[in-house]
Amino acid sequence: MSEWRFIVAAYGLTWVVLVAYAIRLQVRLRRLERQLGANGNGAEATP
Amino acid sequence: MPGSFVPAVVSRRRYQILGIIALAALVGAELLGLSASPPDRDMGHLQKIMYVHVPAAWSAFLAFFVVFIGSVLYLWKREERYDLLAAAAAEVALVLTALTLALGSIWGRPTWGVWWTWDPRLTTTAILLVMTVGYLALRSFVDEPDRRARWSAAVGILASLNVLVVYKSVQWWRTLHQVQSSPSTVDPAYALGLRLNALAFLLVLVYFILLRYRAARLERLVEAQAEARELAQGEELHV
Repeated sequence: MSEWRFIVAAYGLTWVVLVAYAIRLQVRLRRLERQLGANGNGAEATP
Repeated sequence: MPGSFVPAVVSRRRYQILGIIALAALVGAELLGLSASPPDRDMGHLQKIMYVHVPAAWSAFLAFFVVFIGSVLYLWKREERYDLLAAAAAEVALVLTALTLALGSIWGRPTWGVWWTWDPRLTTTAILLVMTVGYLALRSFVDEPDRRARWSAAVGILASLNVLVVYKSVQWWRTLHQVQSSPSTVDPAYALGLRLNALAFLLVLVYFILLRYRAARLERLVEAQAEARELAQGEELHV
């Protein structure tokens, strides 16, 4: 049974890392798009 | 702004669709791996960690391959899009390499009895991780775009070539880490789960690189706008 602790930890860590990185990228993109939109370059920011 | 591979053909909606497909593939592949594979004779259910550890490592290797191609193409053609592609892939490679090491550590504790050991496979992977951190640090330290691209292309090529050392390390110095796992070397009962998880990680990799590449392009645009503003202010002061 104790081996399942490690399995749960491995799968849990995988999901945390992948989801956190995906969210980070989305937030970064939105911020950049807003920044460019504010600078009058909206067409380039949202192709 | 130089040409780009992606934004002309990939809209935000398509990114989202790719992200959802990657997520669904990962959920499906992991559920199959967790539920359908029998316990291993030696490792028992711990074998199931292979379905995330090995695909994470393969995806990291593929990301480094993109770094290599982008870096070589930049040095050859001097087009900014290749530099941005290499940089995007390097950041994704860093995330996946760190994940690979952490998962290996979680697997190592119950099977080897230690969280970490200076085994050649682990050590060369840790060196690869440090080189990638160095690559990204270099990019943030150098402001001038062409110099930054040239220097990071050199470091990117060096780091990518280190992947060969990581890959061959289990054959050159046979110690604790087992030899490479692949669908042809594992028991047939585990091959399907490994293939499906590898495919799901590949989709995640493509999604991450596309997203990061787009962010890199937008960052360059912001940078170019700031440079233009500074130039205009300088001219105004001069007049």
